[in-house]
Amino acid sequence: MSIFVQQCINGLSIGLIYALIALGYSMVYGVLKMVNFAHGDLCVLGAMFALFLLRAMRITTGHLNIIETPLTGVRLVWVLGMCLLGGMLISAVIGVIMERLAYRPLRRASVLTVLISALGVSIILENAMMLIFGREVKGFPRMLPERYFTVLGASYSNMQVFIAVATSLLLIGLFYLVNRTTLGRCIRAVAEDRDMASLLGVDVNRVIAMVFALGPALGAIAGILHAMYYGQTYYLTGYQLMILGWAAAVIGGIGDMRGCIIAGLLIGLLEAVGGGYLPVITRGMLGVEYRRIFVFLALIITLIVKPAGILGKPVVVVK
Amino acid sequence: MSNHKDYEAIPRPLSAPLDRALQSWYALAGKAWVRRLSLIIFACLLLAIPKLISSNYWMRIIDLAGLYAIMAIGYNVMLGYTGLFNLGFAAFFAIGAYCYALLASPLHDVHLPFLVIFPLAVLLTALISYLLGIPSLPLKGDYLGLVTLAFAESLGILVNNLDFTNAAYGIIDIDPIRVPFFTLKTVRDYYYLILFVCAVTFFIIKRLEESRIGRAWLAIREDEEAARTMGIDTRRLKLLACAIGAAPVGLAGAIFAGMQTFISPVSFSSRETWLILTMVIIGGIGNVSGAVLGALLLTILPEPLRGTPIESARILIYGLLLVFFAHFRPEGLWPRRWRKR
Repeated sequence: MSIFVQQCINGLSIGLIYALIALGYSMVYGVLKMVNFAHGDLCVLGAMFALFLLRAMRITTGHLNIIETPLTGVRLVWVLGMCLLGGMLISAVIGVIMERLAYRPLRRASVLTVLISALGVSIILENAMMLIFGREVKGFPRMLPERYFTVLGASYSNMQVFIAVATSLLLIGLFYLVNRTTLGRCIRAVAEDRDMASLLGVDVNRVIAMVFALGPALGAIAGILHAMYYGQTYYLTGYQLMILGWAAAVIGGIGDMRGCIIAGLLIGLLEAVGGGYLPVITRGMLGVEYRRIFVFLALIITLIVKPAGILGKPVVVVK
Repeated sequence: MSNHKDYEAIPRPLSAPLDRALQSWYALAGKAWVRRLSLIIFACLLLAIPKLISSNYWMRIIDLAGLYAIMAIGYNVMLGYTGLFNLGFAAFFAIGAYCYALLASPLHDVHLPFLVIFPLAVLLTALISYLLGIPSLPLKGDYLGLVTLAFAESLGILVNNLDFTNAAYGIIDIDPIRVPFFTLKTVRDYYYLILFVCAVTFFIIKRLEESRIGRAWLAIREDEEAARTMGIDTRRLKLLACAIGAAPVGLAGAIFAGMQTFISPVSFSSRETWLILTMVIIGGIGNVSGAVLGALLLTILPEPLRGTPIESARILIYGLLLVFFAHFRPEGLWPRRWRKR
């Protein structure tokens, strides 16, 4: 029982990160009706840049996830804040530039052409990161001093608590932005009907650029939290995050924000609980490394049973 | 999805001289004797290549180019004809290769001849591609891309960890390909096999393109709603495109395993998918010859760069090419020629 609770805790904390990434996919899909392949790579870019800042501030050497001197108090807040803000900024800037150069000129082109352009951008980002930051797996410091709490027979690390608090605050902020502010209303209007919104005086290009700043900024935080949680970052992690985030967006009902969060948590739970029990059930024949396959199965089942996703509006189904 | 007016709206500085060159070639090829003569010269050249090239290294590169050409022809059926965005190519390649490697190697001590494994590899790949299409194709949008991508990732995990496929160590000592009366030993022998398979695939797909099925595929790509209104069973035809498009890839995988005599999961990363995708986009969407051209260009041209600093930026350049072509020439270097009416 305590294993189950423990795995649930682990799954929920990583699931919150997936939810944050899935929201980036969902928002871009909402306004442009396309899948932004490069989103996962923008998340990793945030983490890579944060690591670069940490090395510049001589906090870590970047080869192992070891911190030279433990961070405490004000210095911890300062370093952590710098990392998160720096990562957000670079991802948002690159996101906006990417939209301007690679997507906007293709606004009226066929869907396939835009997808190809997006895929090209993703490949460019991945390999540019490889060339700039190096092709090896990099250690990422946890930054927080390691502490554990025990509740209900399961132990939480302060890292998990930090992830939960940070992502929850961001999600609340995002919901407020989308549902209560003028910009949010514009985003919803563009998602509903781009041409109509334009006729009613919404600056569509500006709104889309804002979405491409907002999504990657959230993604960068997700990327940094992911890197902190696993203690490492790698230029190809974005590819994994892309599949997971996209799958979460589809399972939750693409374009629906609440669905995304539920699906992100679900995928995290599936990975953790499934991966945790797999070696027990199969007597060690199948290990934790197979946990990603559950995501694929969940995706297939969702598409067969409820193609619109958990909370999505009904999609057009061709008989 | 879209129509041709949308393509025209994009300024394409690259296109004018290229289109003029293609036009003059088509005008020349309109004469039957020019067409026949060039075909004969081309065929003689292809057959003579192993005699003309002395280095085994370059022969191997040309063999690989041929394998990529076979795969590009397959991918063209999905992406070029039907407009299906399938991203599971590395997986289909792996299925074909592992099919041969498991059934013709000392790993499980099974040694079946190539002609037995060949239909098996092709059918298995086609079947899996078909099954992947079932949950995703009835839906509008890019679900096929996601499902195939996730499948390729899952298959990668399985192959990398299962003892059955010897995990990350890969399979060694795979039997060379045996066809009746002959065992293929050198890269030159493989060249003729690959050339034969490539020519047969090319011919079959070309014939399909000109048939009812081919025209239906093109109609689906141009406007699915309209195609359905005209009485085309779009779901069945899209699934058919999935199966037929994947089959050559499985076949190429089987030949690859026999040629290399060693395979490991590293050979089937997502990189392969991006590579084949770039080949089809650059060569020419919807034109079999264009896809072959793309495969040859992208395999042979980067080869002299091996060992130079540019080599590590190779994939980056593919990404730049994808964006560049999407913007300035979405139909590729050698696009499909629309018959005038």
